[in-house]
Parts: sequence; C-alpha cells; structure tokens
Amino acid sequence: MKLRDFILRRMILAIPVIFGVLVITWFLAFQVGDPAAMYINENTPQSAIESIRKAHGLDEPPHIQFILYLTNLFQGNWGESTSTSFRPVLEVIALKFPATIELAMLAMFFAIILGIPLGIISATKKDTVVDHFTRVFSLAGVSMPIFWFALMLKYVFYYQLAIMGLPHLPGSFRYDDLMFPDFKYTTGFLLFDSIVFEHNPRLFLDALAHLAMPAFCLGYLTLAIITRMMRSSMLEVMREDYITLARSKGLSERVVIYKHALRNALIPTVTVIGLAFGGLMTGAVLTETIFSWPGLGTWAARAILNSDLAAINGFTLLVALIFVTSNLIVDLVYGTLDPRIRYG
Amino acid sequence: MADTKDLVLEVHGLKTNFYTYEGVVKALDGVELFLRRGDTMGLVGETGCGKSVTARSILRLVEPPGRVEEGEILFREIDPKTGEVNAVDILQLDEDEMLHIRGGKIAIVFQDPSTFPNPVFRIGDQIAEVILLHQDMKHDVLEMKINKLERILNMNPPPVNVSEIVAHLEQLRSMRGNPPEPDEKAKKKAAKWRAIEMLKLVRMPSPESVVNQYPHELSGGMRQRALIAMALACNPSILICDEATTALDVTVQAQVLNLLNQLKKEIGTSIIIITHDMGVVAETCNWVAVMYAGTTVETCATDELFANPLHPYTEGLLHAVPKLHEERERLPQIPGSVPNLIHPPSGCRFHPRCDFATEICKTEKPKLEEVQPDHWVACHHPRI
Amino acid sequence: MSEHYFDDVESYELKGMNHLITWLLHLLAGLVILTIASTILAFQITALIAIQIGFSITLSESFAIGALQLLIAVIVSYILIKLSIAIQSSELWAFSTSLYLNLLLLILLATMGTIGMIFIFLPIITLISLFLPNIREYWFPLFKEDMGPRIKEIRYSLYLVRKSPLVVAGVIIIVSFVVLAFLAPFFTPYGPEQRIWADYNLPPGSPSTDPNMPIHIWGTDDSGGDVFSRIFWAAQVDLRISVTVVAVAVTVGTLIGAISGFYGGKIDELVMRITDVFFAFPGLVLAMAIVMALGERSLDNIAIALMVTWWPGYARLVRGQVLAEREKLYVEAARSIGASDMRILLVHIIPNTIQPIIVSATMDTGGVLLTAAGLSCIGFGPPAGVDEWGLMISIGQFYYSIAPWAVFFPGFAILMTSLAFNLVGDGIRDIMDPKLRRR
Repeated sequence: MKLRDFILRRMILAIPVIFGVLVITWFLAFQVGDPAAMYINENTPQSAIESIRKAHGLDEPPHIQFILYLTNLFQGNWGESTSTSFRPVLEVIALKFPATIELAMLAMFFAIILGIPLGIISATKKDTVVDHFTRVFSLAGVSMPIFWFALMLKYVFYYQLAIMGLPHLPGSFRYDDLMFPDFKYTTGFLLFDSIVFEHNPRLFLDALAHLAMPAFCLGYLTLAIITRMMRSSMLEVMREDYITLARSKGLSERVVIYKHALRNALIPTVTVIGLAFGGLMTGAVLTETIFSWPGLGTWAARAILNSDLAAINGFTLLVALIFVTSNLIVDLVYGTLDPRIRYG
Repeated sequence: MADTKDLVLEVHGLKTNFYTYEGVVKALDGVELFLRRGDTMGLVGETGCGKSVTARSILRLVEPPGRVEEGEILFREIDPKTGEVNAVDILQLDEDEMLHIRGGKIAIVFQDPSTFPNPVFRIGDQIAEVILLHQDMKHDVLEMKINKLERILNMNPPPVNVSEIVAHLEQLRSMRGNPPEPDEKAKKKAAKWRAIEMLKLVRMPSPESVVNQYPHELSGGMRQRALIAMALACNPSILICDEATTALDVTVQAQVLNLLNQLKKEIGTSIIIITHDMGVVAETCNWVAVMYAGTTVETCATDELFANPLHPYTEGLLHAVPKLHEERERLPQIPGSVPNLIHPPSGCRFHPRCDFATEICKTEKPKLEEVQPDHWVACHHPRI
Repeated sequence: MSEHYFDDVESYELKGMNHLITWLLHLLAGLVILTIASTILAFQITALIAIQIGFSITLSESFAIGALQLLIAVIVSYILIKLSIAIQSSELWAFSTSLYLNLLLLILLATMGTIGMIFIFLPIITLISLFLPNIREYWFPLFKEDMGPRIKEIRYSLYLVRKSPLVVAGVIIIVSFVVLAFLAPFFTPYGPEQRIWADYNLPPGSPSTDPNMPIHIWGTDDSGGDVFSRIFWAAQVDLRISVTVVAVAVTVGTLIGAISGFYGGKIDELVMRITDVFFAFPGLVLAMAIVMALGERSLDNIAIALMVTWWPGYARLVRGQVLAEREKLYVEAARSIGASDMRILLVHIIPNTIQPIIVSATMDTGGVLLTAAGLSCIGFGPPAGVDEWGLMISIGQFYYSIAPWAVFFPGFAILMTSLAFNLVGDGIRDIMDPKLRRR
C-alpha cells in the first residue's frame, strides 16, 4: 500500500518534468526547420502549399500548434517520421527500440559484471599498482571519445583481422543477412528471437558476435563510472565504525569486505547505475552511428540532421520517459538495499 | 604481583606508533596492565592519553598508519576440559588465530552506538553472525528443539499427540551428552534463537521483535545494549568497554553499568572499562589503571587509589573531581596540557607538569614498580 | 581469372601487414619522442612553479634543480641524436627522413633554451636577490608570520600531489598540451588549414610530393592536410572551447544554484524543476537540437549548446552545498553583525563551497572536450577543413581503413587531454577532501 502510494507520487512528480522536456524539444524543433518543407518541393504550387499547411495545422500560431501536438500525442499519434519514409513515429520506435535496448542491456550487464569487482579490488588494494592501473583504466573510460574508440575497435578487430585473413568480429548491423536471409524479427530482441522462435544457435552466436564490439564500446563508459563509484564508496565505507566492529567480532577480512562493506557500498553505486542507464542512450547515438546499428541512436542522429521534427520530439520524449522510469526503479532498489529509506 | 594463573590478561611494554606526515606519533610507550580473572578494571586518563589505542592494540585492531611496535600481550585461558591455563602472546599470533580470539575470547564494545552497528543488517543477524562464527552450535540446536517441544507440551489446550511428543522429547534429552551435527539451516535458526536469549540477557525490551529490527529503529540505549549483547554472545573471557557509556544519558548510563556488573556475575567475564569519568570507576570497578600520555602511571585497587594516590598525576586527577561535601571556589587543575606525542618530553612524560619533578625525572623514564603491597606506581618520587 | 584474384588478395594482405607494422613503429617512435619532449618541458614548468610558490626551498636546492635540468637536457639531447643516427641508418626507416627527428630535436633544444633561460634562471636570480641578507630581513619575518600556516598547507598539498603519480602525470599532460597549443606556430611544419592536395592519405613519415615542403610526421588526411600540424592547431581550438564552456557554465550555475539554495522557497522550487527537466534529457541530444535550432553548424554554436546543457549540473551541486553551509554557525555569526545577504553569499558561503566546484569543473573540462568532439564528429561541427579534433575524426572515419592515422592521432589527443583533466580532478578531490586528508 505504502509502496503503491510512493510510486504514484513519483509518477505525478514526473509529469512536470516530462512536460518541460516536451516544451523545450518542441520549441527547439520548431526552430530547426519548417515541417511543411518535407511535404513540398520547388514544383509544388503555392495553393497546394497552403492546403498542406492547413491539413497539418501548420498555419496556426506556435502555441496552438503545440497544443495540437500534445492532443495528438495523447491520442497515440506521435507524428510521422519524414526521414523514415513517413512512417508513424511510434511504429518506428517499436521497430528500433528492441535493437537499442538489447545493446544497452548487454553493455550494462558487461559494465556491472566487470565494474563492481574492479572497484572492490581497487579500493581494497588502495595505492598499489593494481589500484593505479584500475584508476587509469576507469578514468580512461570516462575520458574515452566513444566514436573514436568504436572506430579503432572496428579497425583492429574487423578490418585488420579481416585483411590478414583471420577470424574477425563483424563491424556493422545486427546479424549477417546473407547467412540468414529468411530471418524475420518476432519480438525484435535478436538474442531472444534466435533461440525461442528460430531455434537457431548459429544465428544466436552471429548476433552475439555482432553485439560484441558495440556493447563493449558502449559499456566501457558505464563500466568506468561504476568502477569509480564503487571504489570511492568502498573507500568511504571501509573507514566507517561498523567495519571496525565487524573486524572486532573476529570476522575474516573477506567477510568484512564482501558482506559488511559491500552491502553498504552498493547503495550509492546503484544510484549511479540507474543514472548511467540514461547516459547509455547518449552513448548509443554515437556508437550506433559508427557501427551502423539499426537502433534509436542512428535514427535520432539522422532525424536531427534531416530536420525530422516528429522523430526528434518522439526520441527525446522516449528518452525522458526511460530516464524517469529508471530513476524510479533506482529508488525502489535503493529501498531494498538501505533499510533506513522508507517510502512515505 | 599475584599468582600469574589468576591473571587473564597481562600487557607488558606495549608500544604503538602512528606514522603520519608530521612525524611519528608515539601513542603508546610502555603500557603495563594486568587483569585478574573476574575483575572489573577501570582504565582512566585524559582524552588522548591512549586508552582507546590500548584497547585496539590488545585486539590488534590498530589501523594504518598506526602499528603496534613491540611489547607483550599475554592472554591466559583456562582449558574447559583439563582446567589447565594456557598463555598465548597475542602479538605473536597469526591472523587466523587472531580471528578466533577476536569476538570469541576477547570482545569489545565501542563508544558510539549510533555509528557502530552496521546500518543495513538486522540486529538479530548481526548478533547471530558472531555466534555462528565462534560457537559450536550442536548444543544450541538441540536445546532449541527441546525448548520448542516443551513449549508445545505446555500449550493450552494441550496437543493431541502428547505421548509422541514426550517420546521425542526424551530422545532429544538423551542426546544432550553427545549432540548430533546439525545442518546449516538449523544452525542459523539456533543462532537467532541464541541472539534473542542474548538480548534477554541484556534486558532488552521485547527482544523477539528487536532481532528483526534495523539499528536505526532503536534508541541509543537499546543500540548500546545490542552492541553489548553482540560482544557477550560468545561468553568472552574479557570484555572491553571502550567509553561504552559516554555517549548515553546519565540514567541510561547507570542502567548499562548495572547491567555490566550483573552480567559479570552471571557469565564470569573479566571486564575492562575505559572511561575518563572517575565516578564510573568508583561505582563499577574493583581495580584501576591510570594512564598518562601513553604510559601506565599507577595501578591498584579502586578503594586504594581513591584513598591513597601515589602518583602526582593521579593525585591531581582526583583533586579535579568535584565533591559534594566540599565547598570550593574553583576546582584545582593540573597546570599545563597533554604533551605533544610526536616529541614527547624526555624521561618521565609527566615531568613538565609535575610539582615534584627533579633532574632524574627529565632524564630517566620511571618503571612501574610495586611500591606498596598491590600498588604499582611509575614515578621517581611516589607520594608515600 | 581466379589466379589473378588470389594474386590480388595476397599482395593486398602483404601490403596491409607491412602497412600496419611500419605505421605502428612510427607511432611508437613519435610517441616516445613526444613523451620525452613533453616530460622535460613539463618538468621544467613544474620546477618553476615549485620554485615560485615554495619560497621555503633553500638556495642550494634551487641551484640543484637548475643544474639537474641542464644535466637532463644534455643527456636527452645526446640520446636523441644517437637515436636519430641509429634510426636513419636502418633500412626500414629509410623514408623516415632525418628532417622529422631533427625538427623535434630543434624544438626540444629551442624550448629547453628559451624556457630554461627565462623560466628557470630568472626566478633563481630573483630568489638569490630576495635572499640576500639585507633584503631578506625586510620581508622574511613578516612573510613567515603571515604565510606560515598557509605555506604549511601548500607544502602538505604538494607532498600529497607528489605522492600520487597519477596527478603528476595529469598535470604534465595538460601543461604540455597547453604549451604545445600555444607554441603551435613555432614548431608545426604546416600552417593552419594548409592543404597539399596531392599528398592525400599518406602514411606517417612520408615525404611530401612537393619537394620544398617538410615531411608528414603523422601522415596526411584525405585532403592532404598534415595530421601532426593539424592536431596542434586544433588543440588551440578545442582547449579554448572546453575551458570557455566550463567557465560560463560554472559562473552561471554557481550563481543560480547559490541564489536558489540561499533563498529557498519558490525560487528554489522553480530552479530545481528546471534542472530536473535538463537532467531528463540526454545531454548530447539536447545539444544537437540546440545547435540545429541556432541555425548554423559551427564551433561557436556547439559551445553555446554545451553551455546551455552544462549549467544545471553546477546549479544542483552549488545548491546542495549552499543548503548545507547556510545552516552553519559562521553564517549566523556574519548575519548577527549585520552583513547583507549578498555579502554573506559572496564572501562567506561561496568560498566555502568552492572545492567541489573546482573538482567537478576540472573533470568537466575533459567531459566538454569529449562532447564537443562527439558533436562535431557526427556532423554538427564546423564545415570540413577547420582544424578541430572531432571534425578530423568525422572526416577521417570514411577513410579509416586506408588512412587510420588520420583518425587515430586526433582521437588519441582527445583521449589524452580528457584523461589528463580527469586524472587531475580525481586527484584534487582526494587531496582536498578533509576526510581523506587526515594525517
């Protein structure tokens, strides 16, 4: 009951945030270009332009157009993505969302699996070679230009290996459509589809190989953030009195670190993981562009360059929703990790 | 000195240094302590004289940049089977043996109940943890089962299959001499049951619900009791209370001190109470050691100390305690302040503040000697 | 037909292998030399800083530092000359002509000479004169009394800095990049935006097709621009952008955050909701949209977009700090003696919240650099031809298989600069954190 109230209240609080995002993107997009320009060319007669404007409500003043946009939004009409052959934005999102989420999930998985142990090791061996190495490794992740890193990975693991005639990782797309010409997406999550619907382990492995480089590239930043957070919160926790108490009980150093310290140090790390999920969306724009990944990131970058207003609005709205949701999830996880937090 | 068999803990020439940027802080420089079995010893001194460092050194819990440099900490334990007394030097033990002593043989209660319990674990789990670690749970599991069956038998209305239960109970009772090895789950359950017993022992109100609560849900006094329960959970030979009552209200403080005294009688633990409050010492301790700037300056029975202090510092300390039946304009104080431990005074560390200092005090460090029967003082000019 | 096909592949493979090896070797040599050069430079500059702020260093120590510098200079020059002779005599390196090494040597010696003379000996002479007994007696006792505790703190900080090699490395990299960016006109063989169209996609170390032009140390890009020169010209632009953006964001964010935290109430509520909205955006996408909305794709617009997206972070940070400080006793004390709100805020509260701002500003300088480069890499930057790291990668990515050096070097420059800022920021946090600073 309390939990439900908490979630409800958080959702109500999210409304002004989402509304703010809508206002800013819509008016920015309004500046980017004339939406009517997509429907016309030099040969379109003036009268036709007028009628096109009227048909799409573009002859109204901006604030009326915005309200029109909002009403359409609530009716499930997010507009048409002009850069994706005029398909409805929601349809394009449904099509491309699984690709991005699959990539982001794998990147996150990889970042968490590696990042937390690295942070612990770095903190427990503070000021040793291991620690310095881990710090440089994680700071390099924070400072890594993703687009460049992606290109370099592609150059080494795809191009160089390929011209040397060695087995190499694929450099673009989600699967090899020459090898699997008959494949059709069911849910859109390729790893899932290949096993559950296609019963094709080779497709699964191929998809995994295609995911490897983009996921590593995208996950490295998150990995770095998690490692750093884990290290600093571990260091902080290790100075706490309850660690001394745990030691005074005769617990071995392993138990002290992995039970008493870890549980406390995870609390701030979880927050960072949640926030980093939003960051993955930013990273996806860059990574997907380099690896020709048919996901939301590529779509968004192209939409902005092509002044595809409905797509810009749709993408930012979606990301804002993801952000708000992941924050809510973080708060819920927080509550289970830290008994001092009570919803109410 | 009395028969060494009586002594459960002996500390000789303990030196602990802290290596800081500004220099080496010689926090402990030749601490001498001895604790008799079943005694309550007060360890008193000003703030920063090294009481807490002594406690942590005994448990080898001094953290970098600190390090125990030299000395001898003899811990004498009575073997429960043979009744023989085994002495071990704590400083010579390896880390694994040390883990066995910490919490199991020597336990410590820390000063601040608000920061010491781990905030993310339930009180019961934190107590059970130390029980599981140090105790062989065979007997406890059996006792718990017997206890449960007895409770069922005493229920009103009585259960239908009384004879069956009684038979089972008899069978379990017959195993008391040689209980079977329990499984992990039963052990955990028994540890929790023991935790409740421990909370009852420290007079915790409604222990059954407290075991499932988190530290932040308890008051300061309750948390301190929980910490004491945690420390006493394995019937340690020595319990060190590092300013365990300082952070509490006076009323709660009195409760906790009474509790300690009763527990000592119930469990037979020797207690070291670290405090700067002479009142607490007078009330609870039968033996006392006075520390000054990292050294033991005087140690004797409590009554003896209050009646007949031999070290000038102790004398000053006792004078500084306000008394009800005296009317004084202002309390006498010891001139000067606690010395800088990076560059401690030569010879006797108290000599710059001492009214009776002579040349020898500046050059030679006095040894702790038995100047009167059962009364040790480290001073060149004891106030006999 | 098929035979020909295999022939082709084989030759292609060989070429690829060869290519990679020579390219890697060049890269290695270039990096070694650059590292040595920049280490020496940075060493000199740090020594200068140390001498200037560490007034407590004795005379003999400053002489020792000067002598050490000279010694190192001689040794390094000797090694470099030896190295260049050795490399030139080797066949593999035949086409890595002497010019490239001699040029570096020249830069090295020139900087050694000028910087050494101006920055090392000038302060030493000043110091000597300051420490002459009859001059010294005027200032030293006063200075000592005044600055005693502060100097102690500074010395302790320097001690902590010395103890963390990562911070030292970061400072060295930043200083060398800044210095190299400033000195770009003096040592880059090609001018800004200078192209030799015939020299497209040449590997590192290739001579120019124009016999009068210098060698291409790190190769050329698709339009015949010299990668080495472009990188250092671009350093000017990129560093300027990131520093400007952070400076503006810090100022605006601090002011808004401080006011919001100090006055609380409705202003606070409003500011926090606005920052919430900004946080719900992916920063890059918002910046992209702003650049597009501003009309023209240029570095200035990228800078504006980044300022707009970056201030909310500082506003939040400062607000939190101010909220904590506001309740403290010293503020109460200031108010009790009649200080105005503005005075309390500017003189008492903000200086006490400055430390986390410095840390996050340092680290953000790297972050802004990354984002700006990222924006211009996916096509929101200036038109092709401008010297800017992100743009170089953006253009280079289409030729990454045949001219990887045109992508590698600018990206590596971004990575190193950003890493250096992060190293320093991270180190400063550890050093300034009162909890970690215990002795």
